[in-house]
Amino acid sequence: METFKSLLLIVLSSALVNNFVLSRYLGCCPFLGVSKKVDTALGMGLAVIFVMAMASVITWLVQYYLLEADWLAALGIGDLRFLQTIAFILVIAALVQFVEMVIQKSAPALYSALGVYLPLITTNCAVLGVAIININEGYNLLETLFNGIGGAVGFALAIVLFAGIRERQEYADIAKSFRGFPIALITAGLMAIAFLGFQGLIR
Amino acid sequence: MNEIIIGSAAALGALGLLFGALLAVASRFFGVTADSRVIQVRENLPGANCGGCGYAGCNAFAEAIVSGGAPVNGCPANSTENAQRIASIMGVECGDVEPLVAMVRCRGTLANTHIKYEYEGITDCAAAAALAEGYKACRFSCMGLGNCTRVCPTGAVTVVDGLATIDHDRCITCGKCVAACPRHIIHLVPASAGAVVLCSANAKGKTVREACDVGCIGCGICARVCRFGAITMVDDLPIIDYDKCTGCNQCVDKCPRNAIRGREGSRKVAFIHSEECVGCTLCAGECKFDAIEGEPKTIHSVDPDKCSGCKQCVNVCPQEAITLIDKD
Repeated sequence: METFKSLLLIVLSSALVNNFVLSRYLGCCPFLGVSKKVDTALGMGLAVIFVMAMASVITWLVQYYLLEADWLAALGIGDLRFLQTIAFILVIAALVQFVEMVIQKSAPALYSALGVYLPLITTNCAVLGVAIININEGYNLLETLFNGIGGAVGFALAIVLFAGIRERQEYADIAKSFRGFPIALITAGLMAIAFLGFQGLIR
Repeated sequence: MNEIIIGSAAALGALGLLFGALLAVASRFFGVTADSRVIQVRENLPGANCGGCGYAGCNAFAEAIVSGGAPVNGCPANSTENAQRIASIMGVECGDVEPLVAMVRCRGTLANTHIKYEYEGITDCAAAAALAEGYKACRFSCMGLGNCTRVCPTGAVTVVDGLATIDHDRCITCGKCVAACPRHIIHLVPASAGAVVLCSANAKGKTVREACDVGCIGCGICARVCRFGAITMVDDLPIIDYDKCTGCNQCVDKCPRNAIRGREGSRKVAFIHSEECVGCTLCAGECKFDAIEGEPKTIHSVDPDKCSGCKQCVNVCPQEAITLIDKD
């Protein structure tokens, strides 16, 4: 019961309170880039959920069973923690390649709609961010998995909500100088303020 | 120390190998075989991603060709041979495309056009043109601040003496400068055009005279001397129908402001090879300059002083006895 409670708290915290896009400002590139249509935003969100969940688990394993494993000391190396960033990026890149392959095969329309932003998940700092946060917070494997899923669900939630708003903005009467990206950035800021309301949710 | 270096390399190498192997396995299940024609077509495109075809880049254009939405000769920068190769990949016919070149229709250098005031604003033609109709006295002239230079993907456009100048060897006809010019004075014209008007001033002669030393004053002499009906005067500016223009250079020679540019290269005259001429007089009838003399059934000859090199006689000669040679 205690474990269940702490897992729920982790999910709520990373999805809402510390939302990756709106509170931590990570992963803004796809957030702004693929949020013109709800459909593609949802596809992006699902791809990120998969990549972030898998990346969390695999990077956790890489961290504890390779970079700072006990058997390294036996070889006289100490630890390889300084390789964290490059090793994690490698994991994420491989995962993104895999996701790209699956999407290209199963949903070509979504593949072309996501365009360059699909391979760009590789450099999505939200994915690298969640992996590093998992290690810094000292989470165990289960907590890591839930933190990854929670964070990615938060990302998907934010991008889908944002896409919904932007779809409506297409038809709104907006001052010419604000059309397109300017109003999108203002909207993102307002959404970030709205998500501030979750701050008191978890103490 | 060595252990750390070797350990790092080994660790990352092992990770890379592992993921590579997993991806290789996954690609057997999820791999998509791309249409090989897309790759073949793309290999026959220039690869500059200039966007002149209207698609996002060469790759997008290649896909559009293969999926059937785009013409095989839709790339303005492509050579005719490459377009034909693409046509044969796709199994379709490709007609000859008239190659175009970008041409700045203005000769308003700092010396030729009168300067109204010294412009020290931002380096942008549209901004300069908005300030009291530009710093040059002519409100149709090139601003010379290089909006076209900045968009040119091949560096073919330079600003020389306050006038955009295009290096036609480098121009790939992507049309970016045409779109970037706020005064719309850059046009795409056929590379083989016999004559091009190098002025864009839709203004009365007096106005142009006051603003510029070389601008078209709308006198209409070119339209009158053209014997092929290729020139019409519209809004005080001659419009040349490049299909009708034969490159006879009459308008080029007669323009009092030298505002019309003829074909590059030396002037040509017709020459009749006496051994093939049968004296049919077809050429003499066709010649609008009375340059061909000769009685029927005798060998004809061309008066090189009268001949304009318009090539009309070459086109009608049934014996193919006439060729164009350099005038001098």
